Amino acid sequence: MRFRFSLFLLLIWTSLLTAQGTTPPVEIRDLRAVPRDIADEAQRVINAAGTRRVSGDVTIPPSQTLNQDVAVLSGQLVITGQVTGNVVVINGSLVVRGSGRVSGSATAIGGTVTTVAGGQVDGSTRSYPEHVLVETAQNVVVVRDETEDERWYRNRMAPKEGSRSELRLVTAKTYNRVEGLPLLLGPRFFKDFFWGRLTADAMAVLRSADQFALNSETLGHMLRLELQLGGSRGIRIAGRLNDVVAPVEEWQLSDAEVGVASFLLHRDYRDYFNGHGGSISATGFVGKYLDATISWTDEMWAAPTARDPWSLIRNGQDWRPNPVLDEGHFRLIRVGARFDSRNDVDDPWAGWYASADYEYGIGNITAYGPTSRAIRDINPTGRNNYDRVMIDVRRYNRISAEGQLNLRLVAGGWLSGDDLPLQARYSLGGPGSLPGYDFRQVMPGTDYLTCAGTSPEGTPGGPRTPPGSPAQCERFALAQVEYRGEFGSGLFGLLDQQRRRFRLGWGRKAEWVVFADVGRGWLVGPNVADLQYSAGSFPDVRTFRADVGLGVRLDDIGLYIGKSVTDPHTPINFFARLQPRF
Amino acid sequence: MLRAVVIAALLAAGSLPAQRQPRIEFTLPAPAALTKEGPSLRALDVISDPETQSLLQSGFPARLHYRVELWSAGGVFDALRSRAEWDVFIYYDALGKKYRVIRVDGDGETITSAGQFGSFAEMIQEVERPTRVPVRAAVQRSRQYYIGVLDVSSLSLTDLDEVERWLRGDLGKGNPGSALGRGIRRVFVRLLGAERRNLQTRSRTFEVKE
Repeated sequence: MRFRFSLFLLLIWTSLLTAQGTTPPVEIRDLRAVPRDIADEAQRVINAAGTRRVSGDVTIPPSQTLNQDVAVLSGQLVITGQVTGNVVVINGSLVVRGSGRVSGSATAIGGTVTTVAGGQVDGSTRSYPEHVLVETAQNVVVVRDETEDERWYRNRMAPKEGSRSELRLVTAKTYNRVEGLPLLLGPRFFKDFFWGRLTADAMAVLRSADQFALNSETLGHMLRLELQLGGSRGIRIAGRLNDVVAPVEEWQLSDAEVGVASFLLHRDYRDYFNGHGGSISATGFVGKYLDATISWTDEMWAAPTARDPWSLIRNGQDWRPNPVLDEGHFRLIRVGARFDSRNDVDDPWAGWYASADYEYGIGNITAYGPTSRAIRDINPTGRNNYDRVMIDVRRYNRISAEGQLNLRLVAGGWLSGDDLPLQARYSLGGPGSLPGYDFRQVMPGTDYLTCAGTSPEGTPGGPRTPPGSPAQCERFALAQVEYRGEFGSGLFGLLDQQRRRFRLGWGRKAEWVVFADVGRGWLVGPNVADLQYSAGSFPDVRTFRADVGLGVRLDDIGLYIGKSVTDPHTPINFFARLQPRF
Repeated sequence: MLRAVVIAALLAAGSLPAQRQPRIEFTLPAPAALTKEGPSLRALDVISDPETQSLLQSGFPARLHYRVELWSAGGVFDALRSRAEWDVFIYYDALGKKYRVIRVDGDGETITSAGQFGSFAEMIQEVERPTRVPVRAAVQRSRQYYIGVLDVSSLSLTDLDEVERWLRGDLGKGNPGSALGRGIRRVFVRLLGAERRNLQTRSRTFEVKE
């Protein structure tokens, strides 16, 4: 009995030993990861002398037959012809389509293998979605696994062929007297493909102006679907549905500057209207330097009700009324192009910035906003077709290690058709254009800034300009020049020390700025007393308004004074900017 | 009343005791080596504050984007000769309880690990180590100089994140007034999109002896 038990144990032990000796260890791996043996095999194919190796996207046409192995690195391979060998694609996908045929095996690492419309792969097909790293040394390709840091970076900063959705609460980055603080709340979804990215947003707009009351005027929406084809260069196609409060004359100040001025100082440097409708657009882009856009917009325009949002200073005062702008239905075709070679977008010291935008509008005005007397013709049918253009050209020049000389020319206006609706008109004056003059200042006599008329009298029994002084010019031109330099380390170095002491600086030296601006606005039509000029003529340069000024830049905050030189009785203006003047 | 509280809080936050000033500094190579190697650039006290430490530990990586430009004088306007850009990312590995530092060049083409660090101080030491910039002076008669720019940002810190942190009280401990002030200021600045942390420096002007 004892012997039989010992024999039984010996048999079990022997069988276990035998099993251990013949059964290979089980590999437990991530389903998405690439097994080393597959990576090694792919590497062998890539580096073989007879392999056709290509980087980037490739198509093998129906007429082509390759009697060899094919390897593609970092690109999509589309086969509609014949490959008699094996196919390996690293960090890309393989599509075998139509009459396409692969006689050997097909492997995609960092992508997929797809056969469509009759495409055929005779051998085995393998695909592993996980991205791998490819290194080339002396023409030998090595496929290696990512390190933890590389994986973190790719997942976090450069996701490929991934998808993500998130609930977002963001601000519209501004604050104004019509909306208060607009908050955007809703989901965003985006998915990356090897050919580009799909993004979708569905945001509700919540406005704080009436303590976030939920009604049609404090709620809006912003839905967007965008398809981007390509990476650093490509095409972006977008569709939008909006119910938003849109600003007039965005070109003068940034959203943040308008928001800060409204919130802190009770000064809102824009006018607003409701835009409710949709648009589609296509944008071609080359890096960050060049892009061109064409879009079609169909919108209902309405005049929003004025509100009284809170501000830090002068909260008890009335806001400048939001001018009542035109209401109606407009279809807009816009074409624009932009070239930007600046060395730094936020604080440029060298390079060009040029943009040109053309807008053709076809619409029907149902309620004309009030204007000054004889500013435009009212069409009883409300029909309004117009086109306008705006150009902005800037040149930044470093003239020494410490100084720069910057120039800007911006102009725009009516080209043809009916009189421009109020939403499409212009004005000058204020910190974003001619800071020696007040924003929406109506000049005595001929008003070269808002085009409110030629005489001090308004409508009999009424004011010269409607409440809020809307922008009424149909054309304008503005030239700006500024010379900026760093304060030296002598007397003005004290300024930097004080900033350091109070933690007001983030490391840049304080700068001084000297500037000058010249410009004016005008109407188009039969010549009228220096305010209205025929379409083919340009105002006498002696009628242009000019100012000069100087200031100090402490990091992002610029503090300036501006003084008109063409109207000596105009007082000196003090103003601040949160970015360079242009 | 509310206005007074807000103004007082902002002022209180603005007059905090001085701390070391964030800065970046160039060190030029020896004159004979100006065309053989680039300058070294060093960032100091850029992310060493407790707030950044708190952000990192809360899962918000920091990004330091460096840009160095070589300019030459001589014509009517100075000319931009060449430039280099790279990023340094710092993130906290909560499982391993380590700070990890990686350097990324060429839009993600090269990713180099600069190490894992068990303490915040060790990580700061690594981040503040001088970096050799791959922009060498040109062989030319005109005077040249380098411009260095560093943008510091916290990744994925959205307005919602910021508001949540503020409500949790993560934005400041100690003096309640200064914490309130900092909180209001940060939330306000972020809500308006005006936040930008940017450092600039310039090397001395030099000439290359041919």
